[in-house]
Amino acid sequence: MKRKNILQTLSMFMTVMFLSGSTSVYAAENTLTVGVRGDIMNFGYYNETTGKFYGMEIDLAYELAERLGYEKVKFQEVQPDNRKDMLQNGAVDCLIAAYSITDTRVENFDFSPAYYTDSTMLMVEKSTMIEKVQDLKGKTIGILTGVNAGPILAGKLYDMGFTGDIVAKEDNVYIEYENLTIVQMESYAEVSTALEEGTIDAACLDRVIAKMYWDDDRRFLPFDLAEQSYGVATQKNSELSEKMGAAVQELLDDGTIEALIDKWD
Amino acid sequence: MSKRLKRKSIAMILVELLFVAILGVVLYQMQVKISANDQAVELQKKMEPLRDTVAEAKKEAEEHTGSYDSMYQAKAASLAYMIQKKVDSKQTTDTLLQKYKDLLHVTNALVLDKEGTVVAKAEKSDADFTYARYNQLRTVFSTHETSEPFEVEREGKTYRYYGAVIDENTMAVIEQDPAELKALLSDTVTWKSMLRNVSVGSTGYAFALSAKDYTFLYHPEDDLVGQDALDAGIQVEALEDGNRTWMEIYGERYLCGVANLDDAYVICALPAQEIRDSCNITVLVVLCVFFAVITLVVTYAIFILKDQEGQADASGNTYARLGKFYFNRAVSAKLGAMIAAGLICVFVSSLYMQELFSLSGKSISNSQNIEGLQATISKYEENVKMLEEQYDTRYLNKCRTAAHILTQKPEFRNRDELARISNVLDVEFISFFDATGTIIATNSYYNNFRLSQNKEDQSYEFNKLLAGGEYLIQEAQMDDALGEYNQYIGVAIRNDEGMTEGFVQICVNPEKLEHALEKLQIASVLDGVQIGARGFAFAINKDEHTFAYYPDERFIGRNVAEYGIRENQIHGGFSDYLTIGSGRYFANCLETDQYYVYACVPKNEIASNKVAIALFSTAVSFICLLIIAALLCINRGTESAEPSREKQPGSMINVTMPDGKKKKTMDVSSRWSNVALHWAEKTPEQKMTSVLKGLLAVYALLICFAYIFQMQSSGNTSMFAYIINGGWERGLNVFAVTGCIFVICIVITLTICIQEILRVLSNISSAQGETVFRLISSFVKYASVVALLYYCFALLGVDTGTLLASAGLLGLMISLGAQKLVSDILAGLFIIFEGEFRVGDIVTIGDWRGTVVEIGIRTTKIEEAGGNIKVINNSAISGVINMTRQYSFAACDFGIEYGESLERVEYILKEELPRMRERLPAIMNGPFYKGVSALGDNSVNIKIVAQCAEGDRIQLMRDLNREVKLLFDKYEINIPFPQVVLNQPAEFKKATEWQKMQADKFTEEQKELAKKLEDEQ
Repeated sequence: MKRKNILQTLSMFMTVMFLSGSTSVYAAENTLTVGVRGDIMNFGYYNETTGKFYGMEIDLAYELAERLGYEKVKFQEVQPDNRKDMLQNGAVDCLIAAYSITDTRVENFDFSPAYYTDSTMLMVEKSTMIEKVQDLKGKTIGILTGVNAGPILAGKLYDMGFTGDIVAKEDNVYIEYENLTIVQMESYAEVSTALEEGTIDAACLDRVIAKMYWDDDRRFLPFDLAEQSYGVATQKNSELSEKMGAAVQELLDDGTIEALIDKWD
Repeated sequence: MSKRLKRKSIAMILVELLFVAILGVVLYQMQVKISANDQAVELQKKMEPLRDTVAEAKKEAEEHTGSYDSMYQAKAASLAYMIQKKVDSKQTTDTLLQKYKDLLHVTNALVLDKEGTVVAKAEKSDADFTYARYNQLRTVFSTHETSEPFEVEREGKTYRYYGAVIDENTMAVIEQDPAELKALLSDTVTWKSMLRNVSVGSTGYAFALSAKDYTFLYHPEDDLVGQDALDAGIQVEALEDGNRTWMEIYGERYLCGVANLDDAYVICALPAQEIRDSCNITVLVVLCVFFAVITLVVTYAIFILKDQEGQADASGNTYARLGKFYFNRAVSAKLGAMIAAGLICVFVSSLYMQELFSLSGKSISNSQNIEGLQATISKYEENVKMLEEQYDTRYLNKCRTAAHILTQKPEFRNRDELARISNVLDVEFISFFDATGTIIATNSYYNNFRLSQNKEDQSYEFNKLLAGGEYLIQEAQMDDALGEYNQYIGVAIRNDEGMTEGFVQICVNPEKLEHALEKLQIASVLDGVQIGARGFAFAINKDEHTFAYYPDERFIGRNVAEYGIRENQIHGGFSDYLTIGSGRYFANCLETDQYYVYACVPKNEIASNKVAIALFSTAVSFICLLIIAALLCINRGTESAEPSREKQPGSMINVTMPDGKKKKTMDVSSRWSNVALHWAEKTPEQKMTSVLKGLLAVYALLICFAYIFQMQSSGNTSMFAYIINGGWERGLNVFAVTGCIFVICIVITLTICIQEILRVLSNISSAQGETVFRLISSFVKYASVVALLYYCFALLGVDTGTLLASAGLLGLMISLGAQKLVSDILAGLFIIFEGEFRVGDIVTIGDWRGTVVEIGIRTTKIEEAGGNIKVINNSAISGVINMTRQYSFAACDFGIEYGESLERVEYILKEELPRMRERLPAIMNGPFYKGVSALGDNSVNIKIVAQCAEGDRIQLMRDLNREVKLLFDKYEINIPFPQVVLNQPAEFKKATEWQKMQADKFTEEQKELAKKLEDEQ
């Protein structure tokens, strides 16, 4: 009799174990995989010692996941040159990775309303004696591979009338215009080092990033390059797109995003 | 004890525990909140000067950098000058530049053209000077000045660049590794140097975080510098300028103040543990006091109630009726006094603990501050040396450059060219002396100068150079000739054979050095020191006892005595209050080579709201006590237990005090016996005293244990350790008092232990052994008291040596004349200490019998039955008979005729004695028939005794006599008296057989009963 009781208890226990096991499987399915940056302080930054991400976009991702009813958030670090592919092939559910909303991108992806507006800055070393954009004639500008600021900058300078057509070009390495060379580099750190050593004369960076690399010996050029709006990108026409858009809008309306920006400012 | 009272007692104990718990929680909350608030305010005040510190450090950094740059700019200029003037050769070659590089002591010297192409170089540089990055150098072509310095980091190495124009197309460039500058800056203007000396509480600290990437820029633990602060647990939202908040850093909670300075957050962190620790013990002690008070109140009330239960006269006036309830007036009156006393205890202990804690905290943090200061001062002393050496090298280098130019180009030895060179080298002026010590060329004001041969003169020293010295760097001093503060440096010039041809002397204005050194004076060390919110540091000159530094400049150089600092307050390790001018500060002192450095905080900053907290705790205790008292005093009905006349035989008796109150006192025979009173015999007051003693014993034991435990643990920062280590000033201060309490607790505990052991030993030893043990016991008692007094006096700052000496003096005084007085006083002390008698006792001294009214220090007053008071000098009191006994007895002798039947009388007594007792209420026991005391000449004398209070004895004897006379009359028993009888033989009645039998039995019985009441006969 007693033994039977024990067996019963055991089997019940097993059932419970199984049930709880199955819920965890369900939870895994209920995970939002977010593509984030790992190299922008205050936005998306990966801490190697703790293996954690932090920053405004990370908090935003958590907030969105909660609103959308996900139980877990998984972060996947993306680079400017691979983030597009990662979203397209479904490695990530969405991109919250300082990804600016542009016409070409909108063709491929769905974007939520913009949660952050950033401007692109030109940063130079003071010792170059460059004080205005016009001084950049014939100089070299460094930029990150895969960002859309390069073509915009070139276009803008072309409009100002001191650059000409493309003379030479190697994809993802450099584009040489008449009177201007734009060098593409792998990482922000590389851009900053190049600026320090003088191999490039100016760096074209988003403001959030430029702030990280600014010091007393450097200055920003007064230059109004197009503002960029960061949005959450999701696969075109996916189920998530609409919900994500609504959620971001909700966060914008109730001031959560503003609070997050303030927190990480 | 009735069931009802038992129930009540249990309920009251529960209520008591509940109240203690409530008070503990409330007090703790309040204390933590208030101290956290206090600390937060202090943190905020601390943040303000930090901004100034940072700004100042920035300025200092700029100054250091500026002076460094101007030196290298001068080097670049002289390099350009030498090339331009073709001092060494017409060709600018790499070899030449290498020579110049060595001459100028620079990392690399280059000549570049306008585009940045290297024309000549001392060393190969990996810099590409054609980059726009080096445009700053090219500005020299337009400005014709030396270029502004800039720094480039290449492959982990940093270089600073200085350019000077040579001609239209070329420029001289110096590429310098600024390691020396960085070293200097790291000593003065890094976060470490700024925050190292900021103290927060006694264990808190300040640290800095980068606002860019949230890494630690500075943390007292060096390992943490560069670590991620978010990783450490710091929340980003807490990092706002001016924020005060709790933070968790590596799992520990801190109260933090945040300031945003430039691109860094400076955070002052105070461990929550520190706040809690101080609160813990304060609350614990106050709680202990409260517990004692409330326990005494409750037990006392219960004892009184129990006592009342046992008394028949629990009459109407004890209770006041309040509706359904009865209010026990007697209890409430007694409790009221106790509660008042208890509240005062709570208030005082709360104040005391807070004072103790804030002071010890301040003292600990002050001494830590001072230790930090000492480190800084020694560091600064090193820096002064380093800086002087640096400047000397710089000046010497300039002089060498000048010597080089003038050796190579003798034609430049003229006023105009020297003016140009001194401009290039950035010196005041240059002079060229020949081998005889005569000035040949100079751009200074005085020509025709000869080196003096007078040892007193400033220029005499330079004769050394002519005698073979290579160079001479003179100390900066007042220039005899110019009246300016100048420094002279000379370098000998040798010809090819090595003969001294003369020397070049440069004069520099050491303004920059002076300025730099000024920063390193004690004043500047102490200037930025922030202790607490409004504390500061100052220094006293060791030899002159003048202020070497004080925040108020007017004080500096004045004698400290003028401002109220006493001689005995000027010594290393001082830690107490002191007065400066009109302010009172708590200060700690440290002795250095030249100064006494003090860290002090204003008195009013120390736990400013301690009175508030003390009042609060008193108020809460008051409410608790009031409720308890109300519960104790109010009953549903009056206590109506069976009045029991039956008194336990015991050693407590009633006495009448001088003011007419009846009090209980201990029977004289039990006073010196080792036997403790039986609990049930004690009065409520005595029971309460026992409870109090018990509590005190427990507390003393606790303190003892805490002390021993703390002695073994090595923790150095706690208040406990601070008091034990005795690093405080001997004098009447809170630490000394605490020290005394510790010592008293420990000694008393030890003494009692020893006495207990001796008592046990005496119980099991022979009578002789017991005497010895008692003697030892009393010796231990007196010895410990004397030792305690001596030690505590020493702690309280009384010079015990003087005390002993004055004891000797006292002896002299006694022998001289005050003998009588002193013997009175001593006798008085012994009466009190030994307890020969107490106030209220009935004693016989000599032939004077009466009640003790007062035992004075010199005289004792005794009141006799008639109300007269005899004043006896204490020294004259001897042979005291203390008659304060439980029972005295009145004894009366009566004579009966020989013819009377003794048995008949005894039978009558048997019948009548009980009735006699009823008529005479003063009789407590008896009367007893003691038998025949004598067969007299004329009568058979029988004795009757009765127990009574000593006070009633005389009257009772008279009453007994009366009763017996009446009794004898009634039964026609004759009392013989001398009379003349003619002849009338008396007819005596015979006792019947029954009477005889009864009489025998009665006599036996009475003997047995009155065994103890033995009169003299």
